[in-house]
Amino acid sequence: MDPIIALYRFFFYLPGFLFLVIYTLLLLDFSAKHVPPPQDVARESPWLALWYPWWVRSLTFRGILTAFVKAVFYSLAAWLTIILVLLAAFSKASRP
Amino acid sequence: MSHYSISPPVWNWYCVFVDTMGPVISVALSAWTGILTVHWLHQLARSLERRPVPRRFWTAWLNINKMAALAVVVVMVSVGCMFLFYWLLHIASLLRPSPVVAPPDFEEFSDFGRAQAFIGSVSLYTLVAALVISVLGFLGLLFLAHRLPKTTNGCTEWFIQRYFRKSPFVGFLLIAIAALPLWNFLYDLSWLVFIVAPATRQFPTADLPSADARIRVSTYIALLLPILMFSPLVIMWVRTVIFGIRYRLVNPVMRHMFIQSMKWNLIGLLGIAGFKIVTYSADYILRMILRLAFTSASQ
Repeated sequence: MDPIIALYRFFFYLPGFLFLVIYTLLLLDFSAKHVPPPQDVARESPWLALWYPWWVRSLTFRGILTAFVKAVFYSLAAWLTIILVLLAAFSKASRP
Repeated sequence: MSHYSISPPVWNWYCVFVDTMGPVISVALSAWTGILTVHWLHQLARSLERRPVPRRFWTAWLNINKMAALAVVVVMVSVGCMFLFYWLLHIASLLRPSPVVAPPDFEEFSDFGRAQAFIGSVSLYTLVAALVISVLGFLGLLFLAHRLPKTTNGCTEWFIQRYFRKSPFVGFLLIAIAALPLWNFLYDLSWLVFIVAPATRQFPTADLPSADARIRVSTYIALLLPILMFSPLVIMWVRTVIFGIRYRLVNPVMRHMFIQSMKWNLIGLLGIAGFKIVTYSADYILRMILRLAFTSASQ
């Protein structure tokens, strides 16, 4: 693979990976309250606790949408910052 | 100067890493949707086992359950095999010393254009076949889903009455969410029609290297991947919307599961959508910045 193409592809996927990381961190929401499963659900199927952990139960649909919107903006902003810093550094270095 | 002369092991493994990340994430997402579908079907079957259901309904439901499970297994196996094949080919080509290649023109992306032209020319039949298969599959599922509730006092009619006559907005919203995978496919189709087709005219296929098997393989993967990846999601969404809503009102356990399952689905769909939105927006912004930088540098 050509170095320029490899570099281009790395930067092509970088914002997407940034988005996934930020989106996951926002969804995990470490300050969220622990929500126990309903009694009848826990009695009926103990596996539910595995499939739907407390942080999923504590999430609301609105919370998921908010995390998505925030992650889109944060990841684009982070990526833009990286690109601009790199461009500035290269332009500074290329000056005589 | 070839990049193999810089630092062969490090550079090659860096390329391997970069080229493996995308497929790994795609396979993980496919596996995740498949597992979730199987899980949902299993839980629904368990809850139905405890309910007295008409024999005809149970038989029909079992058939659609088998069909969906079979589709998921086929999709998972085919995606896995194709990725394994692609990955092996790619690794083999990376680790083999190649002749010196001049770097492509960064402004024109001529190599990308030629590759895309080649992709567009060889994959037309695949695209048409995939479109026909996916549409037929979608219609077939809808047909089965429509036929099934007739034995249980009209689930479809109830769904339409509940979500369309009472509140058309919610009904259309649910259908729109269920149709998200189809939109994804239409998006890929539009990319092929508006980007690849003009490039095909610009770069005739006669000029292109015909023996490049890697491009050929990646072509089929690039075209089939969205359909294969989203097939479990289509099945899952149709089942969730048409069957799940009915049972969530009956059984509190199913109601809880339905809501949690919807959360997982929403998280996954927004994750896939966000990955695409951010990636392509960033690409557009980067091209704009580079164009501005090159323009100002040339002046």
